[in-house]
Amino acid sequence: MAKLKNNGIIFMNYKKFLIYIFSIICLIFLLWQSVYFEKLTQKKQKDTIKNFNPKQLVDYFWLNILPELSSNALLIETFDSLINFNKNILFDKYGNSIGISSNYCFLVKGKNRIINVSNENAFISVSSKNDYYIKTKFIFSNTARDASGFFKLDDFQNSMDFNAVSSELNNRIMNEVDKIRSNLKNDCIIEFVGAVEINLDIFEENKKNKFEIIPFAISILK
Amino acid sequence: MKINRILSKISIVIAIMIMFAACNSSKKNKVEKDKIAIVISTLNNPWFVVLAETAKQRTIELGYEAVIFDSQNNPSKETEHFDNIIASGFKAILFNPTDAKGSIVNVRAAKNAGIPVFCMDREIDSNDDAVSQILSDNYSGCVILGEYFVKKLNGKGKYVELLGIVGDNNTWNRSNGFHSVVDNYKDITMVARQSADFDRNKAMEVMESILQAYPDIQAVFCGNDAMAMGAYQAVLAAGKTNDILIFGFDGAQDVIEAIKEGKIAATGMQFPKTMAKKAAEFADEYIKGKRNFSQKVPVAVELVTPENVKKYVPYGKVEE
Repeated sequence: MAKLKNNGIIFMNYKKFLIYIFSIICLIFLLWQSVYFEKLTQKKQKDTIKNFNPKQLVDYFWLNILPELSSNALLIETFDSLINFNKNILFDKYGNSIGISSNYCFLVKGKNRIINVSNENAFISVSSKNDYYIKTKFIFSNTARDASGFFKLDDFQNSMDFNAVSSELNNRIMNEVDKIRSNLKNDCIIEFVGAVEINLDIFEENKKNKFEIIPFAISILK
Repeated sequence: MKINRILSKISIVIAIMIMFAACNSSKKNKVEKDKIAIVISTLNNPWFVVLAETAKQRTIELGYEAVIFDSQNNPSKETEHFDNIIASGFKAILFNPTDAKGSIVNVRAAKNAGIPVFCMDREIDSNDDAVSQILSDNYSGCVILGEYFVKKLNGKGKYVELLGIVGDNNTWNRSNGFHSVVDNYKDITMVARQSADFDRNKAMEVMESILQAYPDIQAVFCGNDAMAMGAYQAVLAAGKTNDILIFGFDGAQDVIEAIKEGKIAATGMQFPKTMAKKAAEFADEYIKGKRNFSQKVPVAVELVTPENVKKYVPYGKVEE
């Protein structure tokens, strides 16, 4: 009888044990279904996609990066000298190119006199056989973005975001140029920082070339 | 007797060892090439056929066996191909995605299986899954095209836009590049915009409908050359080839010929052979141990017009 009773107690304890184990398993299962695990890198990636704001990025670049880049930009006269006499140094040391391309972009600056103003351009005087003009209207392309060397395609989730930066930067440049365009006149001395693009397939050595400068900044000195 | 039994057992063991040695030797004599898979969004478009065939040829030149898989513009089909490739011991994948977002899962599966993926022409919206992505700079190409478009229209007119596949980032890069220029000209108006999925026949049907609603347009901008040829067929049928300028994008054979004949106004030359060769070479470098690749490698696009068409051949340049 005592043995039977003991066996009963053991059985009850065993039954309780199974119930506890089953309950724990159910609880773990419910908790597992309630949460999900994600790699931190993927989460950060998603946040970046959601939070990408080209205007903010361009504002940051304009205020924090461009001033220092501007101070290190190539003088337009040096650019001209190198393009005429030592192209290799110009491209190797100062040129920015993205991917597989014949296009190279450069950051340039200068203090030069305006010699001819048209609806969309202001030609400046540079002691050179080449023509240089500041684009004052209808600014497109990736020249400004790529000349800076700051924006790297690999830092963007996709090429659409990378191109959105170009679009935003061009808009910013246009807004700045709009403030001053009507005051640009022949014989004005201007100070500028801008971007120039050269296509090696089109560029003709020993001939007169035209270089378009996309201006990050223009100010009239006199 | 005992010695005989021992000797016979030793003979059997030696015979078995010789058999194994012979098997291994014959296996080593047969050189097995590593396999590289080439997965293309669709082989229904000649441009992609050039991409696939160039990739295959370069892969073989580099010493691999190459197999082409056609996804037929179907993400499910693409997934099936990836499942097959992962199970079949391929060493690398040269990949032309069907969808920038939807294809990520396939690339990730290959990556997790230890198979490197190199995207060609189209990108996926991820920087962590493919080893490298070799892409056309569609935006810049269409900026240049847009500037030429404005010049040919003399700054005014009505036009139609035919878009490509909406899930493909190339569609929007091209459209955005084009509009970044053209939208600045108030006298140039887009009267209709519709997707024709990069397909010639669909473009013809879409264009026929649009021409009924807007018979007085001056131009059509098409997101690729196949659609440009479809649009041309519709314009030809309507008897308006002298009134409507057609612009494409790709550098396909029929459009290059059409530009020479004055039927198409311009196109953007992509370089599928450059992209395909680069992808194959990257795969080879990866298999041989290199690991640092640029995630995105854009390839410049060039404008082809009647003025410079002599410098170009289908899918490339004369000197290539």
